[in-house]
Amino acid sequence: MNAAVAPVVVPLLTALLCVGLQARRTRWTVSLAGGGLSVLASLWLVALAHGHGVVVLRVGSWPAPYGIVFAADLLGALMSAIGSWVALWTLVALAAQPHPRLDAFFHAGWHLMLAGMNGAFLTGDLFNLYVFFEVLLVTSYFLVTLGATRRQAREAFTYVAVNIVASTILLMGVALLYAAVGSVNMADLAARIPQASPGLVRPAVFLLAVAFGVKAAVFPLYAWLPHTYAIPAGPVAAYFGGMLTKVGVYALYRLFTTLQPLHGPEPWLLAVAGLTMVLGVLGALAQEDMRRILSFHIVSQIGYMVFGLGLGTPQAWAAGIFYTLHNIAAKTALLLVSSAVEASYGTTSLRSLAGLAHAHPWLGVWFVVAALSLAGIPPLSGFWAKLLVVQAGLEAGEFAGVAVALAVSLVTLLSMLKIFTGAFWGPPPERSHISPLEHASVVGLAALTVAWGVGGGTLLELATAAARALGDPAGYVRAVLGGH
Amino acid sequence: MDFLLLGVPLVPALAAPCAAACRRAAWLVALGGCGLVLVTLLLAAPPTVAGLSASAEVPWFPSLGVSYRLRADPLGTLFGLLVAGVGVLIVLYARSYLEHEPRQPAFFAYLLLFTGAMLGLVLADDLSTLYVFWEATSLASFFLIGFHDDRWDARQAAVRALVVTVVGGLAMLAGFVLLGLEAGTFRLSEMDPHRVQASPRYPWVLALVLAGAFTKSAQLPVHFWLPGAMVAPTPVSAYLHSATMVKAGVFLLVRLLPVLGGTELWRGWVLPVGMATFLFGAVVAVLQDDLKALLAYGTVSALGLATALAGTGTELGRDAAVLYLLNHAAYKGTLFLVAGAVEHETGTRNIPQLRGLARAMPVTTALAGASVFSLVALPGSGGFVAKDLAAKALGHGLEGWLWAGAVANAAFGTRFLQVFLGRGDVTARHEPAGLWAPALPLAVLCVLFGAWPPLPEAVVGWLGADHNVWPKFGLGKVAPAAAAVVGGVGAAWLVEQVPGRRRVRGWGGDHAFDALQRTLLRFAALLTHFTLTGRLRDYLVVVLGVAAVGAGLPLLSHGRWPEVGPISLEAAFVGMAACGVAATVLSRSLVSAVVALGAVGYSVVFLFMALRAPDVALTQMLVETVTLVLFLAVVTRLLTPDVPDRHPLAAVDLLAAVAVGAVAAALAFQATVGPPSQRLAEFFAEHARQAGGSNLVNLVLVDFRGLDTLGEITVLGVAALGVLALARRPR
Repeated sequence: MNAAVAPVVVPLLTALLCVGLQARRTRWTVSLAGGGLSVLASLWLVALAHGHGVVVLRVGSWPAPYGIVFAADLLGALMSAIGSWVALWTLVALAAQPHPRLDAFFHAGWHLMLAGMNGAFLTGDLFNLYVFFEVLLVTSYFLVTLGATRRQAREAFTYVAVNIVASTILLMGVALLYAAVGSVNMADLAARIPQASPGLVRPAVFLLAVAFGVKAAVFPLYAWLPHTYAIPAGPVAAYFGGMLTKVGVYALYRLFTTLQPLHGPEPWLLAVAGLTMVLGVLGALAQEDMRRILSFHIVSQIGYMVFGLGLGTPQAWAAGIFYTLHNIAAKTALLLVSSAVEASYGTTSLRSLAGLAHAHPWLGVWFVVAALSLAGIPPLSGFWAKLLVVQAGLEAGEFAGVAVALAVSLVTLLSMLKIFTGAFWGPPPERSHISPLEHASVVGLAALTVAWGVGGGTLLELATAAARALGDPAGYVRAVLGGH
Repeated sequence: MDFLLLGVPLVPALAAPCAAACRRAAWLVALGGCGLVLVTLLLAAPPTVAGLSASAEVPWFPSLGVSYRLRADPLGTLFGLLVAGVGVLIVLYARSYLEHEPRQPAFFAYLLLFTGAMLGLVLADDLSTLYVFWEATSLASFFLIGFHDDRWDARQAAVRALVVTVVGGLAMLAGFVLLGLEAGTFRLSEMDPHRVQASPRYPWVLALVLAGAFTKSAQLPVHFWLPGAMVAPTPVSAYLHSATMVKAGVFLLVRLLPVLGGTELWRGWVLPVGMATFLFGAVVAVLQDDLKALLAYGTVSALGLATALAGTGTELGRDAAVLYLLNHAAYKGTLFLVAGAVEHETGTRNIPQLRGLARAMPVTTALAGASVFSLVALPGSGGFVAKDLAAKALGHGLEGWLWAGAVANAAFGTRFLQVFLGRGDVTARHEPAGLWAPALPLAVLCVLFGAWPPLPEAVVGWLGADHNVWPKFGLGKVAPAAAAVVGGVGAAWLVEQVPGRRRVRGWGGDHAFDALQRTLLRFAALLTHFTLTGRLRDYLVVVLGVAAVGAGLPLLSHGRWPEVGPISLEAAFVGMAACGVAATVLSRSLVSAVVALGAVGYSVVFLFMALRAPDVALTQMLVETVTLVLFLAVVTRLLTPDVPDRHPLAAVDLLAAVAVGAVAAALAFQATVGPPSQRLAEFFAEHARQAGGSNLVNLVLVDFRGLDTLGEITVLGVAALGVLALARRPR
């Protein structure tokens, strides 16, 4: 099997097995093994993409741009690796909270969503990207409503309605580009867009940006997110909160580097980034519930990633990629803490919780580590991510943006303190059990943020290499189209 | 050997988890950690006297130019010895002070974390390393201030302290990055002051870095976090909030003096802030009735003076600042430990209630006397030497203010000593050695600094300067000191005449901080309420509106438009569809609206036929029919099948809908203007045989782009699973 497609095929087959298997224990084993295998497959892909550049698979051996290609560059491979990692550890958390009647559905959904995500990260075909977005959307809707009450199912409708509209917009954009260039292969588009009619390309690029912006939840298209993420089961929320929006971020990076490369700071993108940071973090500050605070933060931190993108230099993209990878780890860890708390205490409301750090000291430690990382406190990965973004911003002369980024990181700290002082400090509660599996799931991600803080040099090197590849669209085009 | 240096901050930090794990022996672990570091530093110290600065580094983020780099220069080693030495004493003290505290292991773990961070801070030779440890000390301080986290005031004080120091820290981070960019290196010992100071961004660098130093060292107007931090257990107040951490700001000033200092700007910004804080703290301290609040404001004042000394920008000022800080660590540390012993044995810290403790606590009283002796800067004390050098460094213009401060300090000392004099109602139990022995070395230092000339001279000589620090005694020096003492006693008496509750509160900005925090929360809630309405309609209007405007605008300049020609068959079908749309919108019943929508769909079927695309027309017809049937089946089962009342914002909806429709139509037109590209079609036609078929649409679906079809099959499969799962959902 070609490495580029392995991270899609493995979860797809695992999902089929999960639906088919009847015995619970066997299903667990197969599901976790499938998750582990996905991680290995995507790490293998990272190694290949780092060593040899873009890994290309021509599906059905049809040459590009006529058939569909998978083109895994380092960015796509890295995203697929962290996505598989998140899927694996959220599965561990799911194992701690069994849903006897819906188990098979949860597991199938988990792997199908991973297949959709990895497909979106690795495909080199714009229409195929749309198809994988569809897989993602329908699977995520499916997971949100699993085990939901009637009222929750109704609230999830907002999510699916907004995202279907976004998909339609995406489809229009793809169609316009096809009309302009005559193909949907990304490398071919990258090579031909400069000569195409601006009357088609500009609206098309904007429509794609809007569609990806909705998925990534940037200002002003983010409104669907905070409400939706309050609905599903804890591990599902962690899985979504960690990865779902980042698929949109990835697509924005692809759009503004490979397809329509930025050269230098792009003011409107930076403005969108700043507003996303500010409104997200203020929304978080206004909440009185752990999970809601964390959900709003997803939005805020998307702003940093878009800021890195909008600065328009490979160095800033490296900062943005590092930030994205760090944030996925830290955010998922936090949502898993929240999930564990909800499973044991039945709530995540700060008004009803207190003294968790006394009842569960280790959980407190994990929370503090991940929360400080999120707020960008050294020596955790979040600090280096923030430092990289700040440095890129200062070098580009975007002082206002840097000031906003720093101020927002302060408010982030404030809202983390709100959770910590509200839920973790105070008189200890009547102790309830938190399963070792849930601890393990949190550690699986919190460990990353510590490791990347203490020794993140390698990750930064990878991010820099990935950004350098993005800064060289011609190389991507050569790799994909060069074979004929 | 130099690599041992790298372990100095790490040993205490790694000992922290061990301390947390050992329940009974936590204090021993802490003592071992601090002691080990102290010994290491003592071994590392002698070469630095000779001017040899050991340094060691490991690369951290090599591509960023960031490394974990420490350097044992005289300044760093001196402060390192202070941190480790006081640390040892504090561990011993805390063991007695927190005898009955069940969370003692956690306390020592935090204390060790702090010690490691502080050592890293003073030894750092790389801006990033420095910043990492800087924030780490703030965090350790947060956990220690909030140690009694069941109390609201402790939690809030911890938050205040952390937020204030982090605000400064963030500014400092931006300043460091700018400094690094301007200097071309993050390595402190290799920075070129001329290059930095000549840069047009120098004022920005300076302002941002000073913000960090001032917040950490509790300068006006953000001094309030320091008195607030007194809710921490007393060993913490003595260690972090008096002897070590709060000095980090001044330390940074001294550290950066060679790079950023010596300019008019430096003097103009640092000196006034320092002097103002010095006087403010000294006066407000005297007004306090709480022993620890008295000491806290005294610390604010002392930090102000040290800042002002660094603000002179001269080498003399630097040495005076360092000497003063060391001296302050000795006497203020002792005073805190004494105050802690008093509270421990009597259960109160309220000065008016406490009298005559000298009888029950004679050793403590002696210690208090020694330290007040130095605080008031009487000749023969360490304080006298330090203040004398300070006066020299500040120059003639500012000596008067220094004397005013001395009066306030004398009043401060008087009020502190009152606790031990006279006779009172509160009785102290006894005087355990664990609560006075650790303070003894500090008290001895207070006296030794003033009575044994080689000591202060050695310190200054170590820093590499050769001025004469030993003051000349004479009437001109002794008389003002005596006058200050007399004035101070009088002032203390005057203060006592005003009831305490009228004078002790309101000097901090803590209320302003809390109000700001509340306002921010309220603003955030309001903003969120208005931006996130929870109504799907609003969200869709935004998404569609943004898409329509953004995609429509380029059309204004680059769009191509149809020429109005004779009315064709196609136009007639378009008109039919338009009628269907109008009927849908105007219909008053849901059923008829759905049917009218179906009419729109069938008009499109006709349009496709007129365009000679029978296969597409057939597909459209099938889809339309199925949709219509399903739609009707659902609508007729709804409880209220009528169209709801018109929304108040119907006009907006109408506008948005028309705009979206118009832009979509215009875009579709753009796509059809040019000749369609035949590239793909030609390839597919050529390779149809190879793909094994003749129907191109089929071949595209199952072969050329078969993966898309697999994806869509997956979508349908998931949808089916979803329906199955919804059927099993709990009611």
